[in-house]
Amino acid sequence: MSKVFAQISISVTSALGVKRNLLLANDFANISAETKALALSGDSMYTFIDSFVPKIKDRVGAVGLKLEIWGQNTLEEEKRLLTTLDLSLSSGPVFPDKSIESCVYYVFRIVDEVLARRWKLTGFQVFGEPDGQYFL
Amino acid sequence: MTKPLADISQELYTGAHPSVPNDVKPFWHTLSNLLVFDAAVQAAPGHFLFTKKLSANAVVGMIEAELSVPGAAIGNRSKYLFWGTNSSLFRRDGITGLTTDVSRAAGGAYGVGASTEQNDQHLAHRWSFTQWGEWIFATNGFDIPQILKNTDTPPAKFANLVQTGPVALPFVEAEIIRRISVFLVALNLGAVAAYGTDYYAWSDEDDPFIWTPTTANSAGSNLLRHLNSQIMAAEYLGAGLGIYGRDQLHLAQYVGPPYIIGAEKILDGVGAWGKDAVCRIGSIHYGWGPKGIFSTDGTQVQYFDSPSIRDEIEKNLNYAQSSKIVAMPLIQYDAVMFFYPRGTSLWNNAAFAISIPTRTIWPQNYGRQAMSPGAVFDFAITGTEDGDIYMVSDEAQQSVEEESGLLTLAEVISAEVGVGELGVGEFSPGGYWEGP
Repeated sequence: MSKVFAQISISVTSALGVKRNLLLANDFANISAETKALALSGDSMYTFIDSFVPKIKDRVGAVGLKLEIWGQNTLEEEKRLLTTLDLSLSSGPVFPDKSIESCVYYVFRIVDEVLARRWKLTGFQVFGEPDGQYFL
Repeated sequence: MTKPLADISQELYTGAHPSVPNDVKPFWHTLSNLLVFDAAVQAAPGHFLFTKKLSANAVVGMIEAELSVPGAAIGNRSKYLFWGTNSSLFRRDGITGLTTDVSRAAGGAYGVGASTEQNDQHLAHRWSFTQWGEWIFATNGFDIPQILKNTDTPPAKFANLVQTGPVALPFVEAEIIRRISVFLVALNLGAVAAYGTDYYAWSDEDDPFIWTPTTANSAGSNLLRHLNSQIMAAEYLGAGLGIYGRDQLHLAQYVGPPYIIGAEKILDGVGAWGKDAVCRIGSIHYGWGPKGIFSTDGTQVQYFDSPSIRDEIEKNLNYAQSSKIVAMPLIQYDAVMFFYPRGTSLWNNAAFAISIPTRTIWPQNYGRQAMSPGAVFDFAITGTEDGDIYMVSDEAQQSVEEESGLLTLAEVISAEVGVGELGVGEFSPGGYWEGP
């Protein structure tokens, strides 16, 4: 059986002679939104996060749209990046790896450096459960 | 069994509060290049390159105008954009989209000896424009005010404004130029013996070529004795002109003979950092002055006061270049954008949007040096420190980095199709096919 190989590109050559591929994102967006530190089970309890449900319209195909989950156990502690999830692959919940540590406080950071689609954020939900008491 | 731990919705619309302690912070710690509009948090409107530049110098003032098309039948009109750098004035042609240098042919380059930087004795060198029918007036506080008559034989260029005679204007320079009723008004008239930085002058009735007052004309001038500073900005307010000092707002309007254009102080405690630090949406002014970021209708003033504004924005403002602050109305997005120099930057390198319905702050990470609010064109237009001109659009990406020139009719668009082995299943039109 033969293979299918085909490639099409649409480009613009300006009067200055610079060729630009119109099928590629050609600029930067640097969009980010970082929440405050959220104590999802109260400020003395670890929380296990099972899923994050973003209410983001037009996120499928928004290549570059990601969710960073950061954690810290006290507000004085430096937060650390626990995981990064791709939000562009589906329109449903995203599930952090079960092996990431539970923390008392979480910071959610939505980033997009491409803006391949103009998505709209109207809310989000976090599902999980308390995972033990935090002792100093 | 997992359960819902957080259900966030209304909290999204509270804006950024980076300096507020976590336990009283509404929701967002930091934001970048987002805005709330259409009931959602989404990317702030992007920009596309609107016109080719002829100069890499910073754009320091602009105006849109709908004018007659020179040489065309009466009634044929088009949209034009005029803008200035420290040394030149440019026009974007409404029909061809091409950029033309329309600087004065006689009198030399503009701003010779002037610095684009603010210093202890002078505000930053910026252009102020106004339209008068088919004419455009421009002034920069350093050179003689300029006039471009669109009715001149094309290509029309700016020229020094002189009085009928010809006689030189009674003042040498003016920072700002505006209209009140049928009078052309020049404000902040420099340090000249008969005038000063707290003066404004007006032309004869419906005649911008007569400025020297006589008993036969209505031209004149006035000193704002209670302004306590130089005239910093002037923005239309109702039927008159709101004139800002550093700490006061005056209203100038036509009052009839013998005073013609009278002015009274209407508000204390509100001022402007520079000639472009105040913008208007409808009858409301939004501006930034030494007392903070405000909105006013001329009868009362409201400040957008929050720890985040004080700690994050005002503490990081480069006050030495504060006269470059630019306020831009984003009417389609219910917001006002402020561009400002942050840290040690000499040019505006940061911005924030204020959402008008929610009165919240939405930081942006790019800067612009001049703006026109989209009064003639569909969307607001901005200029950069590199001479680029952008138009706002929610169809475009954020903060476009333009590596090639703007497309014109001379551009080539090509579609390149490369085809290798092509086949669909076991059937290959034109490719390799192996029979049963």
